[in-house]
Amino acid sequence: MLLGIKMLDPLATNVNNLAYINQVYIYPGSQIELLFQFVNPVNGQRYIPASGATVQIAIRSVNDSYTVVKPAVTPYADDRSIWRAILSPSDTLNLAGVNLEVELTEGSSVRRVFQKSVLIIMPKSPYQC
Amino acid sequence: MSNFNTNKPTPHGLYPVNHEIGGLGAGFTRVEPWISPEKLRSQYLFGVPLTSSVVVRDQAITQELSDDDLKDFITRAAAEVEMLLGIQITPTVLTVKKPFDRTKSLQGWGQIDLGVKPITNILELSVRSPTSYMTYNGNPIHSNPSEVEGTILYNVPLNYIDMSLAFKGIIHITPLMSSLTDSASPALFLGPIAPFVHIMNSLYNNQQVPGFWFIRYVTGFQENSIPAPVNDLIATVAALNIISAIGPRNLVSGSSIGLDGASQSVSINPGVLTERVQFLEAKKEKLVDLLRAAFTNKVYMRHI
Repeated sequence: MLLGIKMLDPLATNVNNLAYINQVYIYPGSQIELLFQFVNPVNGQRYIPASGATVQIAIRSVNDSYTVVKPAVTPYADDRSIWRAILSPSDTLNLAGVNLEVELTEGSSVRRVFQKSVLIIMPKSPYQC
Repeated sequence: MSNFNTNKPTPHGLYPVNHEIGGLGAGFTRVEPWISPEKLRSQYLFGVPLTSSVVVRDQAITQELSDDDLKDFITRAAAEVEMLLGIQITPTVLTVKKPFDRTKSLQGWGQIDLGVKPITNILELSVRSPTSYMTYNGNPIHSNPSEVEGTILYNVPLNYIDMSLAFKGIIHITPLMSSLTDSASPALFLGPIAPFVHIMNSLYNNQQVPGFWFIRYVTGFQENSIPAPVNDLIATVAALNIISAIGPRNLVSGSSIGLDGASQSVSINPGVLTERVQFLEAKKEKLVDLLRAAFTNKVYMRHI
């Protein structure tokens, strides 16, 4: 099955008031929560990974040392298709790009999702004049 | 991806050109993040229905351009704008080999025109051998990843590189230092220079050596800081492509139904979006002209 992700609004207070969003806005130097759901991009159905699956996200930069790789966890036990990764202020300080890479490991099976244009990172202040 | 442990960034900001880096700014913003589908829809496609409805064999078929589609249009428009302007928009690391040119290299302060603009950072300027990766009778030779681009014969100290024209894609080697043993560039005139002197001696007899200089550099505007006029052009190109995709499907400009005479009429105007397209085309031309003048060249001259 082809794997995709959809971004969710991290302001949701419980699993019943989740809403899809197009992209997450990130201000460099602030803590950010990335909430997303695994879906089948062909028919839009959610995908629930196998029990014990692990997920990590990566936001790549042309500068190796600015690449951020973080683990994700399932915030809602009732819906394992939803995962959350938290980026600390130091993680977001030098973030770059608009794409998000997600790696799902289920036993020996590793699948990668490359989602285009789901991050909007605001410019850093030195370049605003 | 590259190792930035050793690098020489441009001392100036790229937009506005040559602005001082490191200041807190004056409280104004001339740069923007990547354009989102919502902004494209509300600012550049205001009032334009992104739907199509046609009747085929009494069946109404309705299609709608989704936000995911708009993201694809934006990405493609950005790539098109890069080609239109001859600049890189997002940060990209490039490697290039440029020829040794007797006039430029020996009399022109080592001028190298990298051809791509704007340059934000130089990671390496070196002389590398052409002995890059190859296989001989099925056996890999020079399989060491560091040798994939050839063995380094000499590394030009980054201190020597003049970045004053980097925003136009041009660098110079200007070893103007207060002393020959600059602490930031140790051992300049010892070990590493020895093979280089030999190379330079032989070069005095040549007008040109192809692929002599190896340069690894970063081009594109500073991360997440796209100049507002560049974003404007990306959105204009995206809007043009979107309108051209939906234009032929928005044929009906008006319809009326009369009750007493039981009449019904529908007027069809295939050119309903033509005016918007003409405006966007004119805007695109103007922006391309302005941005080429600011970031690249409108006129090329060379000495022969």
